[in-house]
Amino acid sequence: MATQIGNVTFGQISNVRKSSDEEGVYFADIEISEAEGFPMETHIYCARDNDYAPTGKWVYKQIVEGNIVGTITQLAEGVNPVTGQPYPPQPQTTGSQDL
Amino acid sequence: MSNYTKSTNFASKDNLTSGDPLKIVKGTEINTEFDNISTAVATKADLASPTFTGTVNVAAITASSTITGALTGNVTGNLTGAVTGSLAGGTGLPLTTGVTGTLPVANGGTGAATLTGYGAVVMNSAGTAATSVAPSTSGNLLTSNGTSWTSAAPPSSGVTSAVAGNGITVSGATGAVTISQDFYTGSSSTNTSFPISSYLFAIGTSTPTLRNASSALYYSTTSPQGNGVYQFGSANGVALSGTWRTRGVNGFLYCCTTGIYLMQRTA
Repeated sequence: MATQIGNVTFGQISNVRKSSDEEGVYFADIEISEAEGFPMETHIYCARDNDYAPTGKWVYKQIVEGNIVGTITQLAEGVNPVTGQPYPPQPQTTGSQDL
Repeated sequence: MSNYTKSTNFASKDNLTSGDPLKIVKGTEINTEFDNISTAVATKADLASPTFTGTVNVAAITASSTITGALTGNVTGNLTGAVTGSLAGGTGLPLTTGVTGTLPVANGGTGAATLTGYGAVVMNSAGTAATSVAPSTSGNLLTSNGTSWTSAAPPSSGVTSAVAGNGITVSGATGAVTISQDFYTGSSSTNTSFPISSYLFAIGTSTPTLRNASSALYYSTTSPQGNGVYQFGSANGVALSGTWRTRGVNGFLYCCTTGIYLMQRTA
Protein backbone atom coordinates (compact mmCIF):
# COMPACT_ATOMS: atom_id res chain seq x y z
CA MET A 1 0.00 0.00 0.00
CA ALA A 2 1.39 3.39 -1.00
CA THR A 3 2.04 6.06 1.61
CA GLN A 4 2.44 9.74 0.83
CA ILE A 5 4.86 11.87 2.83
CA GLY A 6 4.72 15.43 1.58
CA ASN A 7 4.84 15.18 -2.19
CA VAL A 8 6.62 11.84 -2.16
CA THR A 9 4.69 8.61 -2.47
CA PHE A 10 6.37 5.48 -1.18
CA GLY A 11 5.59 1.93 -2.21
CA GLN A 12 7.33 -1.24 -1.16
CA ILE A 13 10.61 -1.19 0.75
CA SER A 14 12.75 -4.19 -0.13
CA ASN A 15 16.32 -5.48 -0.21
CA VAL A 16 17.22 -3.67 3.01
CA ARG A 17 20.96 -3.76 3.76
CA LYS A 18 22.45 -2.65 7.02
CA SER A 19 25.55 -0.54 6.74
CA SER A 20 28.75 -2.28 7.66
CA ASP A 21 30.51 0.73 9.11
CA GLU A 22 27.76 2.99 10.51
CA GLU A 23 25.08 2.40 13.10
CA GLY A 24 21.56 3.55 12.32
CA VAL A 25 22.11 3.49 8.56
CA TYR A 26 20.27 1.27 6.08
CA PHE A 27 20.25 1.03 2.33
CA ALA A 28 17.09 -0.15 0.63
CA ASP A 29 15.37 -0.42 -2.71
CA ILE A 30 12.24 1.69 -2.47
CA GLU A 31 9.41 2.34 -4.88
CA ILE A 32 9.11 6.11 -5.08
CA SER A 33 7.00 8.64 -6.90
CA GLU A 34 8.60 11.97 -6.11
CA ALA A 35 5.69 14.17 -7.11
CA GLU A 36 2.05 13.86 -7.98
CA GLY A 37 1.74 12.30 -11.41
CA PHE A 38 5.30 10.99 -11.51
CA PRO A 39 5.61 7.28 -12.25
CA MET A 40 6.54 4.94 -9.43
CA GLU A 41 10.16 3.82 -9.81
CA THR A 42 12.53 1.85 -7.63
CA HIS A 43 15.53 3.76 -6.28
CA ILE A 44 18.36 3.24 -3.86
CA TYR A 45 17.52 4.94 -0.58
CA CYS A 46 19.79 5.64 2.34
CA ALA A 47 17.81 5.77 5.59
CA ARG A 48 19.35 7.33 8.66
CA ASP A 49 17.99 7.64 12.15
CA ASN A 50 18.97 11.32 12.24
CA ASP A 51 17.56 12.30 8.86
CA TYR A 52 16.40 15.88 8.59
CA ALA A 53 13.62 15.21 6.11
CA PRO A 54 10.20 13.79 7.13
CA THR A 55 10.50 11.29 4.28
CA GLY A 56 13.76 9.93 5.67
CA LYS A 57 12.33 9.72 9.18
CA TRP A 58 9.37 7.76 7.83
CA VAL A 59 11.50 5.32 5.81
CA TYR A 60 13.81 4.66 8.74
CA LYS A 61 10.80 4.01 10.98
CA GLN A 62 9.36 1.52 8.49
CA ILE A 63 12.64 -0.36 8.37
CA VAL A 64 13.17 -0.63 12.12
CA GLU A 65 9.52 -1.64 12.60
CA GLY A 66 9.85 -4.35 9.94
CA ASN A 67 7.39 -2.97 7.42
CA ILE A 68 9.53 -4.22 4.57
CA VAL A 69 9.61 -6.98 1.98
CA GLY A 70 12.06 -9.71 2.96
CA THR A 71 14.63 -9.42 5.70
CA ILE A 72 17.45 -7.10 6.53
CA THR A 73 20.85 -8.28 5.40
CA GLN A 74 24.21 -7.17 6.72
CA LEU A 75 26.58 -5.58 4.23
CA ALA A 76 30.11 -6.90 4.34
CA GLU A 77 32.93 -4.43 4.64
CA GLY A 78 34.22 -3.17 1.36
CA VAL A 79 31.00 -3.97 -0.49
CA ASN A 80 29.28 -1.30 -2.46
CA PRO A 81 25.71 -1.05 -1.06
CA VAL A 82 24.52 0.04 -4.47
CA THR A 83 25.96 -2.74 -6.55
CA GLY A 84 26.51 -5.38 -3.90
CA GLN A 85 29.98 -5.87 -5.36
CA PRO A 86 33.39 -5.13 -3.83
CA TYR A 87 34.66 -1.66 -4.60
CA PRO A 88 37.00 -1.64 -7.59
CA PRO A 89 40.44 -0.09 -7.31
CA GLN A 90 40.28 3.72 -7.32
CA PRO A 91 42.11 5.76 -9.96
CA GLN A 92 45.09 7.59 -8.61
CA THR A 93 45.09 11.34 -8.31
CA THR A 94 47.83 13.80 -7.68
CA GLY A 95 46.61 14.91 -4.25
CA SER A 96 43.67 15.42 -1.95
CA GLN A 97 41.99 18.42 -0.37
CA ASP A 98 39.53 18.87 2.49
CA LEU A 99 36.57 20.89 1.12
CA MET B 1 -72.35 68.45 48.36
CA SER B 2 -76.05 68.57 48.91
CA ASN B 3 -79.24 68.85 46.97
CA TYR B 4 -81.95 71.45 47.54
CA THR B 5 -84.72 70.15 49.80
CA LYS B 6 -87.84 72.23 50.38
CA SER B 7 -88.46 72.95 54.11
CA THR B 8 -91.96 74.54 53.94
CA ASN B 9 -94.90 73.30 51.88
CA PHE B 10 -96.36 76.60 50.77
CA ALA B 11 -99.06 74.96 48.60
CA SER B 12 -100.71 73.30 51.62
CA LYS B 13 -101.34 76.76 53.12
CA ASP B 14 -103.94 77.44 50.37
CA ASN B 15 -106.27 74.81 51.80
CA LEU B 16 -106.21 76.23 55.30
CA THR B 17 -109.11 78.38 56.55
CA SER B 18 -108.77 82.05 57.14
CA GLY B 19 -107.56 82.82 60.59
CA ASP B 20 -105.46 79.71 60.78
CA PRO B 21 -102.04 80.91 61.95
CA LEU B 22 -100.26 78.42 59.64
CA LYS B 23 -101.90 79.99 56.63
CA ILE B 24 -99.56 82.94 57.05
CA VAL B 25 -96.36 82.90 54.90
CA LYS B 26 -93.64 83.97 57.26
CA GLY B 27 -90.48 85.72 56.27
CA THR B 28 -88.43 83.18 58.24
CA GLU B 29 -89.84 80.35 56.13
CA ILE B 30 -88.89 82.14 52.93
CA ASN B 31 -85.44 82.87 54.35
CA THR B 32 -84.94 79.19 55.22
CA GLU B 33 -85.82 78.19 51.67
CA PHE B 34 -83.34 80.65 50.19
CA ASP B 35 -80.69 79.41 52.60
CA ASN B 36 -81.34 75.84 51.46
CA ILE B 37 -81.11 76.91 47.81
CA SER B 38 -77.87 78.79 48.46
CA THR B 39 -76.26 75.80 50.16
CA ALA B 40 -77.25 73.39 47.39
CA VAL B 41 -76.11 75.66 44.56
CA ALA B 42 -72.76 76.30 46.23
CA THR B 43 -71.93 72.57 46.25
CA LYS B 44 -72.82 71.90 42.56
CA ALA B 45 -70.43 72.11 39.54
CA ASP B 46 -70.68 74.99 37.15
CA LEU B 47 -71.33 74.34 33.48
CA ALA B 48 -68.29 76.41 32.56
CA SER B 49 -64.93 75.06 33.69
CA PRO B 50 -66.14 73.04 36.66
CA THR B 51 -63.68 71.62 39.17
CA PHE B 52 -64.57 68.17 40.48
CA THR B 53 -63.39 66.52 43.67
CA GLY B 54 -63.83 62.88 44.55
CA THR B 55 -64.98 60.27 42.08
CA VAL B 56 -66.65 61.38 38.89
CA ASN B 57 -68.91 58.87 37.21
CA VAL B 58 -69.71 59.66 33.63
CA ALA B 59 -72.06 57.66 31.43
CA ALA B 60 -70.80 59.26 28.24
CA ILE B 61 -68.33 62.00 27.39
CA THR B 62 -68.41 64.17 24.36
CA ALA B 63 -65.64 66.71 24.33
CA SER B 64 -66.36 69.53 21.97
CA SER B 65 -62.91 71.04 22.41
CA THR B 66 -59.39 70.26 23.69
CA ILE B 67 -58.93 68.35 26.91
CA THR B 68 -55.92 69.96 28.53
CA GLY B 69 -53.81 69.24 31.58
CA ALA B 70 -52.18 66.05 32.87
CA LEU B 71 -54.04 62.96 33.93
CA THR B 72 -51.79 62.27 36.89
CA GLY B 73 -53.75 59.54 38.58
CA ASN B 74 -53.87 55.86 37.60
CA VAL B 75 -56.47 54.43 35.31
CA THR B 76 -57.31 51.06 36.75
CA GLY B 77 -60.17 50.14 34.50
CA ASN B 78 -60.07 48.86 30.91
CA LEU B 79 -60.54 50.82 27.74
CA THR B 80 -62.77 48.27 26.11
CA GLY B 81 -64.35 50.36 23.45
CA ALA B 82 -62.85 51.01 20.02
CA VAL B 83 -60.64 54.04 19.58
CA THR B 84 -61.48 55.31 16.16
CA GLY B 85 -59.45 58.44 16.48
CA SER B 86 -55.64 58.68 16.57
CA LEU B 87 -53.27 59.05 19.50
CA ALA B 88 -51.04 61.22 17.41
CA GLY B 89 -49.46 63.16 20.21
CA GLY B 90 -49.21 60.35 22.73
CA THR B 91 -45.74 59.67 24.17
CA GLY B 92 -44.20 57.60 26.92
CA LEU B 93 -46.08 54.39 26.22
CA PRO B 94 -44.00 51.63 27.96
CA LEU B 95 -43.21 48.92 25.37
CA THR B 96 -42.53 46.20 27.91
CA THR B 97 -45.78 46.55 29.85
CA GLY B 98 -47.87 48.88 27.79
CA VAL B 99 -48.44 46.82 24.69
CA THR B 100 -49.62 43.34 23.84
CA GLY B 101 -49.69 41.39 20.59
CA THR B 102 -46.99 41.20 17.88
CA LEU B 103 -45.76 44.19 15.91
CA PRO B 104 -46.05 43.27 12.22
CA VAL B 105 -43.25 43.66 9.67
CA ALA B 106 -45.23 46.36 7.91
CA ASN B 107 -45.11 48.40 11.10
CA GLY B 108 -41.40 47.97 11.67
CA GLY B 109 -41.61 44.81 13.77
CA THR B 110 -40.56 41.26 13.07
CA GLY B 111 -44.05 39.81 12.96
CA ALA B 112 -42.75 36.96 15.11
CA ALA B 113 -44.09 36.26 18.57
CA THR B 114 -40.92 34.39 19.56
CA LEU B 115 -37.41 34.00 18.13
CA THR B 116 -34.77 31.37 18.96
CA GLY B 117 -32.10 32.47 21.40
CA TYR B 118 -28.68 33.12 19.83
CA GLY B 119 -30.29 32.74 16.44
CA ALA B 120 -29.73 34.98 13.46
CA VAL B 121 -32.90 36.86 12.56
CA VAL B 122 -33.68 36.55 8.87
CA MET B 123 -36.55 37.88 6.84
CA ASN B 124 -38.79 35.76 4.70
CA SER B 125 -41.09 36.61 1.83
CA ALA B 126 -42.35 40.17 1.87
CA GLY B 127 -44.80 40.89 4.62
CA THR B 128 -44.37 37.60 6.45
CA ALA B 129 -42.87 37.25 9.86
CA ALA B 130 -39.12 37.00 10.42
CA THR B 131 -37.64 33.75 11.68
CA SER B 132 -34.39 32.90 13.39
CA VAL B 133 -31.68 30.49 12.27
CA ALA B 134 -30.07 28.57 15.12
CA PRO B 135 -26.23 28.68 15.19
CA SER B 136 -25.92 24.86 15.02
CA THR B 137 -22.35 23.53 14.68
CA SER B 138 -19.40 25.68 15.68
CA GLY B 139 -17.79 27.30 12.65
CA ASN B 140 -20.96 27.30 10.59
CA LEU B 141 -21.82 30.25 8.41
CA LEU B 142 -25.14 31.84 7.52
CA THR B 143 -25.58 30.47 4.04
CA SER B 144 -28.06 31.34 1.32
CA ASN B 145 -29.59 28.67 -0.87
CA GLY B 146 -30.96 31.29 -3.18
CA THR B 147 -34.26 31.80 -1.41
CA SER B 148 -33.65 31.38 2.30
CA TRP B 149 -30.90 31.13 4.91
CA THR B 150 -29.49 28.20 6.83
CA SER B 151 -26.62 27.51 9.19
CA ALA B 152 -24.19 25.45 7.15
CA ALA B 153 -20.56 24.36 7.26
CA PRO B 154 -18.26 26.63 5.26
CA PRO B 155 -17.44 25.40 1.79
CA SER B 156 -14.39 23.25 1.38
CA SER B 157 -13.10 25.25 -1.55
CA GLY B 158 -10.16 27.54 -1.06
CA VAL B 159 -7.33 27.02 1.39
CA THR B 160 -8.54 24.88 4.25
CA SER B 161 -5.26 23.35 5.29
CA ALA B 162 -1.57 23.60 4.54
CA VAL B 163 0.71 20.58 4.33
CA ALA B 164 4.42 20.29 3.83
CA GLY B 165 5.75 19.38 0.42
CA ASN B 166 9.12 18.60 -1.08
CA GLY B 167 11.54 21.01 0.50
CA ILE B 168 8.71 23.03 2.01
CA THR B 169 7.95 23.33 5.70
CA VAL B 170 4.69 24.68 7.12
CA SER B 171 4.24 25.83 10.67
CA GLY B 172 0.68 24.52 10.98
CA ALA B 173 -2.32 23.29 9.05
CA THR B 174 -4.76 26.17 9.46
CA GLY B 175 -4.90 29.72 10.68
CA ALA B 176 -1.76 31.79 10.45
CA VAL B 177 0.59 29.46 8.61
CA THR B 178 4.21 30.18 7.82
CA ILE B 179 5.51 28.47 4.69
CA SER B 180 9.25 28.27 4.37
CA GLN B 181 11.65 26.58 2.02
CA ASP B 182 13.98 24.03 3.56
CA PHE B 183 17.69 24.46 3.06
CA TYR B 184 20.74 23.38 4.96
CA THR B 185 22.09 26.21 7.09
CA GLY B 186 24.81 24.30 8.90
CA SER B 187 28.55 24.25 8.40
CA SER B 188 29.41 20.67 9.25
CA SER B 189 31.68 19.01 6.70
CA THR B 190 30.38 15.62 7.83
CA ASN B 191 26.68 16.36 7.60
CA THR B 192 24.72 13.45 6.15
CA SER B 193 21.17 14.79 6.32
CA PHE B 194 20.10 17.45 3.86
CA PRO B 195 16.56 18.70 3.21
CA ILE B 196 14.75 17.45 0.15
CA SER B 197 15.48 19.64 -2.89
CA SER B 198 19.05 20.32 -1.70
CA TYR B 199 21.72 20.50 -4.43
CA LEU B 200 25.29 19.26 -4.11
CA PHE B 201 28.16 18.83 -6.52
CA ALA B 202 29.55 15.29 -6.52
CA ILE B 203 32.07 13.18 -8.32
CA GLY B 204 30.58 10.28 -10.18
CA THR B 205 32.70 7.40 -11.30
CA SER B 206 30.16 5.78 -13.57
CA THR B 207 30.59 6.87 -17.15
CA PRO B 208 28.34 8.31 -18.19
CA THR B 209 25.62 8.56 -15.52
CA LEU B 210 22.23 9.18 -17.02
CA ARG B 211 20.72 12.57 -16.30
CA ASN B 212 18.08 12.31 -13.56
CA ALA B 213 19.16 8.81 -12.65
CA SER B 214 19.14 8.10 -8.92
CA SER B 215 22.07 6.95 -6.90
CA ALA B 216 23.26 6.63 -3.33
CA LEU B 217 25.47 9.61 -2.51
CA TYR B 218 28.45 9.69 -0.16
CA TYR B 219 30.99 12.05 1.11
CA SER B 220 34.50 10.69 0.85
CA THR B 221 36.59 10.06 3.92
CA THR B 222 39.56 8.53 2.18
CA SER B 223 41.73 8.93 -0.85
CA PRO B 224 41.67 9.39 -3.69
CA GLN B 225 38.86 11.97 -3.56
CA GLY B 226 39.75 13.29 -0.14
CA ASN B 227 37.73 14.13 2.94
CA GLY B 228 34.49 15.96 2.29
CA VAL B 229 34.17 15.37 -1.44
CA TYR B 230 30.69 14.18 -2.35
CA GLN B 231 30.68 11.19 -4.61
CA PHE B 232 28.56 8.37 -5.92
CA GLY B 233 29.15 5.18 -7.80
CA SER B 234 31.96 2.94 -6.77
CA ALA B 235 33.70 5.25 -4.34
CA ASN B 236 33.57 4.49 -0.66
CA GLY B 237 32.52 6.91 2.10
CA VAL B 238 29.63 7.85 4.35
CA ALA B 239 26.20 7.71 2.74
CA LEU B 240 23.87 10.71 2.71
CA SER B 241 20.23 10.26 3.63
CA GLY B 242 17.54 9.83 1.03
CA THR B 243 17.56 9.43 -2.70
CA TRP B 244 19.67 11.64 -4.91
CA ARG B 245 19.37 12.24 -8.63
CA THR B 246 21.86 13.59 -11.11
CA ARG B 247 20.73 16.87 -12.61
CA GLY B 248 23.61 17.42 -14.99
CA VAL B 249 27.31 16.99 -15.48
CA ASN B 250 29.91 19.73 -15.58
CA GLY B 251 32.90 17.86 -16.94
CA PHE B 252 34.86 14.62 -16.83
CA LEU B 253 38.02 13.71 -15.01
CA TYR B 254 40.45 10.84 -15.36
CA CYS B 255 40.09 10.64 -19.06
CA CYS B 256 36.32 10.42 -19.23
CA THR B 257 35.81 7.92 -16.42
CA THR B 258 34.70 10.39 -13.74
CA GLY B 259 32.40 13.37 -13.94
CA ILE B 260 31.47 16.36 -11.77
CA TYR B 261 27.71 16.00 -11.34
CA LEU B 262 25.04 18.24 -9.90
CA MET B 263 23.03 16.11 -7.50
CA GLN B 264 19.62 16.85 -5.98
CA ARG B 265 17.88 15.11 -3.12
CA THR B 266 14.41 14.19 -4.30
CA ALA B 267 13.03 11.88 -1.62
